[in-house]
Amino acid sequence: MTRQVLVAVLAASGIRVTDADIVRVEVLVAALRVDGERLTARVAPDAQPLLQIGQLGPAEPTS
Amino acid sequence: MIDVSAMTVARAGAAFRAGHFSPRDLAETYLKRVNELDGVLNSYITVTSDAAMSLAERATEELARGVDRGPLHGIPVAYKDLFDTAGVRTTAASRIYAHRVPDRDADVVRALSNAGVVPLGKLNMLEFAYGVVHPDYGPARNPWNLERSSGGSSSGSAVAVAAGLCLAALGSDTGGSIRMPAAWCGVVGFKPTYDLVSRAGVVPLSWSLDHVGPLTRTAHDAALMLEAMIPRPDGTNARGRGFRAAALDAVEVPRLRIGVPRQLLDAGVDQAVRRLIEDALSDLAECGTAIEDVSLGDLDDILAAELTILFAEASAFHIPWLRERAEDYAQLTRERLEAGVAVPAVHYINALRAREAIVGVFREVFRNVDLVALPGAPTTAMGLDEKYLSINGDPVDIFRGLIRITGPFNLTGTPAVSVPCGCAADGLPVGLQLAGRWYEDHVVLAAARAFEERRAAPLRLPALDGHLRR
Repeated sequence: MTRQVLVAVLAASGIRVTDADIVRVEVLVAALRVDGERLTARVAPDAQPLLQIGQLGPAEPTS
Repeated sequence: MIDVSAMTVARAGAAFRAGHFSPRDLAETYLKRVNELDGVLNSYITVTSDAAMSLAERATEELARGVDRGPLHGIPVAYKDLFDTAGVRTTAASRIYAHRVPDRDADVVRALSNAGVVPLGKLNMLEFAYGVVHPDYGPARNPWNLERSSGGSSSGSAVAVAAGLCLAALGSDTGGSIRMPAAWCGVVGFKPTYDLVSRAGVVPLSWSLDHVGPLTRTAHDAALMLEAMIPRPDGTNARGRGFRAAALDAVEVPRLRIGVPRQLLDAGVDQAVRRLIEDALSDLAECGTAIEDVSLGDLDDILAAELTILFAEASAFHIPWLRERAEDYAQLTRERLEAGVAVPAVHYINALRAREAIVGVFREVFRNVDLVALPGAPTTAMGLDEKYLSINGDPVDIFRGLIRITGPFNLTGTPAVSVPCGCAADGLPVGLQLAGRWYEDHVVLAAARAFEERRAAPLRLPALDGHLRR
């Protein structure tokens, strides 16, 4: 994510940031971006999002 | 004053009913300890002495005339300061909520009130449970070494239980925030199955990862707390799921199979901790449990999905204050929240898609084993001012290093406990983490209790006499 995009995203959210803020936040955003890109590349095409964690359900009891 | 060095919820309850001492006597003892020791430990944000003594008097009077509300009746407890308490300030250890006084109790607080507990106050924590000490509140200090961190985010909960400043506490756990401080402070921390305990009235960090659970001195006490935390009269939650402490007795621990994710234990855990976990696994094997290796799948995917969901959901909750009062957050909290705003919706949705697949992997794992074992934290307690975890000499980002060990069970919503399993060479506690199948909370706690019984380590309090304020 370029700095321009990051500033635009934060500004569009109504968040005022200084240049110093951006430098620090960029590191975190970069790490999250790597995570997100990697996941996106690995999710199976037919995978559905888990929208309700209540869908987790119990595994079959064996004990 | 009562000697509380080996006190537990179960022992206190037995002593009340045998007439050895009363809830009033016990509340006085704990409040005196808070007054003497918390100046240095900083585990409480608010102490509600008058209300506590009033409730202790009531519990004493009720028990005397045969009104018995169960195992928690008259027990001194305390709440992480993100559980709403009617009429009592609930700060989330933040400047944003510094003056917030809820007008009603969180569901779980109300449930415990109905069980007759005696709340002593509200406990320190990391700001909004997001991993950072806010300078207005300062750190809750580790009672085993005051220069070490108590972890977090349920730091005050772990410290207060470890130091004998309450008998049991409530915490919340989004990526390990009950289990990690429990491990670092030498107490039991239990994260139940997702949704088993109501989160209504609990300040959220990340709705789909947040869990509410107890911190106690024994696994049995955690079971007693958990049963009382589920509010409906029939002992079930809104989904019809329940928990009974008595169910622990029916678990045949020697028949359990325990899986060890070697890829995580070998790479993400400091050698000093790993040694104690291996010893603990040997003890469990001698109990008759079968120990085998398992794989939890791709650990980087698990961490990525957890962090993507956590950052996005936390920022969604905080966006109004991020716009208007950003300067009131601790710097790193603010930076995390700003970073979360920049998580694309595409990544969040794909993290939820990955989550479904990861849950599928865990379903397979739990077809073959009953429990998964790991440490509650990858290192012993770090120094208060350290910026990185040190794992086998390598600096590791604190947030990622800790969540890698505990977060998989938040992402999947499976129950997990950290139970003390000894001290490393630096004298600091280490926790054994055991995780189980959805809604088999009783199996997890039964195994933890069996481990405690096998070890038969006497309960003890940290030596803090030199810090007493008399």
